[in-house]
Amino acid sequence: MAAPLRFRTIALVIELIDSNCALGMVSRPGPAGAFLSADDLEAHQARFGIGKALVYHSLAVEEHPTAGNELLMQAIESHDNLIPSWLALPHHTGEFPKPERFIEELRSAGVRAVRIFPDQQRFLTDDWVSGELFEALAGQVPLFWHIDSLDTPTARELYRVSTTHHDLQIVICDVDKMINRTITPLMREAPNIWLETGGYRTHRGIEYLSNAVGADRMVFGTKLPWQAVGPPHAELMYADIDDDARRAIGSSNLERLLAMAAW
Amino acid sequence: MFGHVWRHNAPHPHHHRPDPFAADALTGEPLNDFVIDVHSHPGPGTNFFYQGGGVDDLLRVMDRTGVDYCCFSAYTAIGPDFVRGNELVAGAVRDHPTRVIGFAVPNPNYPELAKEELIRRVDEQGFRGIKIHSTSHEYPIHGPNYIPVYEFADDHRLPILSHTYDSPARIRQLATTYPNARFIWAHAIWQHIRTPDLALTVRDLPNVFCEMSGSGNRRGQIEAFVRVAGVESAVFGSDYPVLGQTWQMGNVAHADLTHEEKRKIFSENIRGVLGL
Repeated sequence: MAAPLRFRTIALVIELIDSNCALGMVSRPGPAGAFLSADDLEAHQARFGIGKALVYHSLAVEEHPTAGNELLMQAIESHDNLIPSWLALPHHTGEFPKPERFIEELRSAGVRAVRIFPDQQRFLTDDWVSGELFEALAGQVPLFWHIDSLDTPTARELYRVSTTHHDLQIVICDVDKMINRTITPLMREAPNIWLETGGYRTHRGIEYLSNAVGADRMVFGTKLPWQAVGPPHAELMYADIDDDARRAIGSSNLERLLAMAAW
Repeated sequence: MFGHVWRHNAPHPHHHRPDPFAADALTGEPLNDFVIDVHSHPGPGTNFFYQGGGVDDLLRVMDRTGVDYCCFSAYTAIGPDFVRGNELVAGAVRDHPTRVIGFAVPNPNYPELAKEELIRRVDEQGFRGIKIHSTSHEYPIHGPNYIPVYEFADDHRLPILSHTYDSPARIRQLATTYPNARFIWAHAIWQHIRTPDLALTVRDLPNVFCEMSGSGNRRGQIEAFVRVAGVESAVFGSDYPVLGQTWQMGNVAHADLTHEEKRKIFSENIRGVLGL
């Protein structure tokens, strides 16, 4: 049956930046697989109006940050719309540079975003473990903090770190539904906390948080390749917010955040 | 420069041509086709907070998304008080008969009251389906107190939306024992990746459907299910407001399926079962 005639005089596609996606082979992809090349990732994202992406390498989280960070730079060479982000570890075991050295490496490579996966990579975020790293990043480069869930210890730790390291901009990544009673006071108490929306699948959630804490505190993400783009994309596009707020969440908040980097 | 926008019908950089569902979803417009959401729960969240969730709020969301009909079973009905919840849905069916389809919830832990509820809601108040939640009510779907529920559905040719399916073998047993009932297994499409037998099982059962609501959203999962089970086995359900209605709606709208396959999932497969 032919599609009905429709008028799209005001229908606009908002160009988006994906703040949470990975390149490279993964151990447990969905049926559609992973993105083994930058070209493939860009082509898929273009279907959704995603013109740029803050990307990391899958091996940085599934194997080791040092290996993945290096592979990332090779994979995105000559892909100007893919913005690199590196994973970090605490330095105590000698497997990762000390924070001052790591900051220099970031600066030298022009990398303006750092990620940590403390649950998955089995380290604590207490100051006696990660405090030096946080202090080095504070005021220098935003931190994308990937969580398994916003459970009680994680929420308490996010609160403690964000209120201890006031100049550290923290983007909470990979949240789930049912978090409003925690995320609302957390973001109100800590103005340096941001939310990546890729897993925020709560009914009218983006609309709610826009009113509760402000649309200027959220950044759009997809969690590619593990997650389909359609769901988080639709959550943003159908949210009952004005187009300025939608553009802020979709792209300009992340641009503003990355512009906070010291280089 | 970001924040830049362009006309939707501008040439796509990779010449991907979205079908009408994907085109609507791309710009956040109401889906311009007949859409039925078989899974929604009006009422406040039990033990967590979301904004809205009442009947009027859910109807406003349907207007934004372009969903024509929703199958309602109250959140409190699948939780603590199924009579109170069914009463809430009865009001919604009465006030919004062209948008809301009532699904009555029986709690098998109260078997006599559950039977009375089904008769009252279906025979007297026009509910057109049954919702069971064996996990929340902590009662196995093969337990004896569910047998009168299945018999009632079989006698009335009703759909049963079930939160869990137990096993592919159980699906086959129920579907063949009660051939006039229509079983909709909620969240089941996400189980396919862990239980491939599920899709193979439902493929040959014309009175069985699976929907995709829930937190699962692995890339390509709906397409993989459809390839094995056949598109006729898939129906759209969101579980909103437990989650956003747009979450799985966006998943189906943007899936790598044909427009005709999406139409079947969004409405055609279940339309006749619901009498629409």
